[in-house]
Amino acid sequence: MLKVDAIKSAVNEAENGKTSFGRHISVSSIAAGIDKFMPQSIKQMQKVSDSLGEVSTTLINAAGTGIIAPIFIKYNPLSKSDQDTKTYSAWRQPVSAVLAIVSQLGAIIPFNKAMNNGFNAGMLSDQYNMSAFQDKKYIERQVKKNNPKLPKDQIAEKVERIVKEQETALLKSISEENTVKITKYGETGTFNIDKAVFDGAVNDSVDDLINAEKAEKARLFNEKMPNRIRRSDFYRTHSKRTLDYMSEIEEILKNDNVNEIRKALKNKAKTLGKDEKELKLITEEILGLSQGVVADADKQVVLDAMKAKVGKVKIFAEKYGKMHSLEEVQKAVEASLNPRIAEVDSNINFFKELQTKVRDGATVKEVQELIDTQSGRSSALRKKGINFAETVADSLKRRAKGSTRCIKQIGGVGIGLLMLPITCTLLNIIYPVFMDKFFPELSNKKKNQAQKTESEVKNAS
Amino acid sequence: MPLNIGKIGTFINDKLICKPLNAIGNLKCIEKLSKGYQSNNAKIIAGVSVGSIVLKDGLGCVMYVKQSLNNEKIPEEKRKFVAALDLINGILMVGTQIGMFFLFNKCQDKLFKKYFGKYFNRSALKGYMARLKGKPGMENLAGLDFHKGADKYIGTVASAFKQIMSLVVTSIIAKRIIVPFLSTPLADKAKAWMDIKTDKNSVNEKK
Repeated sequence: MLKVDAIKSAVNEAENGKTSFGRHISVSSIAAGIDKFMPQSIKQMQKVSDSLGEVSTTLINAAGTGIIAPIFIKYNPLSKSDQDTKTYSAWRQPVSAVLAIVSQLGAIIPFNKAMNNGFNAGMLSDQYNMSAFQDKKYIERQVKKNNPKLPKDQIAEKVERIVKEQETALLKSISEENTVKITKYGETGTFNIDKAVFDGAVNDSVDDLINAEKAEKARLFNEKMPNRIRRSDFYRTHSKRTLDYMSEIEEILKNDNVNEIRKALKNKAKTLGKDEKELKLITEEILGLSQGVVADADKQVVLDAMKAKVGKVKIFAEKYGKMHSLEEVQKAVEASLNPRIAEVDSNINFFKELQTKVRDGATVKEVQELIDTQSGRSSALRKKGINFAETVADSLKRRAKGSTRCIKQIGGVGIGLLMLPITCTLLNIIYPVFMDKFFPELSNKKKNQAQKTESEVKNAS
Repeated sequence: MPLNIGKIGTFINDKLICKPLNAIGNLKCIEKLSKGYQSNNAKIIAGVSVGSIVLKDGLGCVMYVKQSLNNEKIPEEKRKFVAALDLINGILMVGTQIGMFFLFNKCQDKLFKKYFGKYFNRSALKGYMARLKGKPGMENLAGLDFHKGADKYIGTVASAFKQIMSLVVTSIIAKRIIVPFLSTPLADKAKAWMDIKTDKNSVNEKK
């Protein structure tokens, strides 16, 4: 089936609510799947990644001011001030941190909210216009606002439907009209997105395809080739040892408890000699297959993958064990990788042709037709199953997401700077009052000291 | 789906937020920064965050210096000294944070690899792919698609790690741990130098 037909059929399926758009599994659902195998620390980083901005910057800075700074002021061995002065000074930091959080975030959070609404409602210029692919949270807020009595499950259903409708419309307008239909706040109807913004996304898409192939070529030459030669030569010189070691690992894999297998494999790796680094690496690779959180339902899959890896190593150990020199190994490895390198080269050449066509004004539909025709000739390209409209949509979303995040943070920095004099003034007023109320002894001592200094100065003059 | 924010809301959004931001967004330097955000470039995103703190510290320093110079509670001959201490502290804060940011930039990839690399090496990814293929709806997961998803996930996590660590290293370690140890002896030296200068002046005046 031609790609254009595939798009149409996927549009129909998506419109009927049967499946998500496209025959590929979406990048975000794969990323969400991987997330499930991760430990909490990584999951948290992934979760906060998108929201990292001026708010988190202010919070981390405040944590340093409020928690760490007082400790280092109070216990700084280099400071010659007396303990009371140190304690008095140290308390200024948490007060300052709380004030920074209240005053700065009090302005930045509403600003961020207003910005998010602005991006989704099409208030800013087209590069920030997300009206064609709105945030799920924004859609949810709008659905709730317009249907206050709707039950939760129906809200979720409606949100999902709107997301799908937007995705379908986005891909349809990209592939059929060579533009994106956007809405603008305060204006009725739809508009074609600014041509420069659309062309930028199309150009980026082709550039991304080329860059991905170039990166793959570099990986094949700089990593895959030398690593495979090194390992294959190890098999040549240690074929029997490798086969024996793999048999021992097979024994370990007869256990069906993944945790016990991991422990046994780690212990096994410790018994290896200094000249057996390659076997250690292979053991680590087998271990790696069980990395992260392994759910009970996945145990068999992991065990099968480990066994398959051992089987593969045995086949290669036997193959390369029959060879007589490093040169022979090198030739064999090169022969095994050359077809892949040729595929990458062929893809690069074709994508460069596409790049020229795009710069000459080819539409997304025309580009897709060129890809489909070339896919008929090249299995390397066919394997990729490129849906160019989807690639352009991803690029547009990425550009909008990046630009909005950038302008939001820059705006946040500006607001933070504007709020700074207010924060400082508040600190000068609140800090002495706070100390008088909660630490009157320290406060009185400080005042006495100040008075003493003042009278000394007066006497001296 | 229209957003109803009322007349005042619209005015604030249009004139005070959207217009200036559209103008800022069209600046060449912001366009360059946007490209960094689009590709989730941790160095650029963390650079803006650290730059924000450095700017605030710099502005704070200017305000403290100004306050000290005009503070009538401080004897006149000591005002410049107190202001100088504030200035030293400010310069140290800004300098160490910028220095640590660039220093940390050089080793953040290694740190990420050291602490989290085992979750993202080739064999770990192969394991995840095998497990994902066993999930409903993922049976036909192709290697190329999986790697796209994995690259996106790893990029997001690595970027978050680098941003958070850059902020921790600069605004906590540099500013709150290193600066106090540098500024205290410097302040003592400055105080001693000022005392000697004041003594000399008073001797000269008596003569």
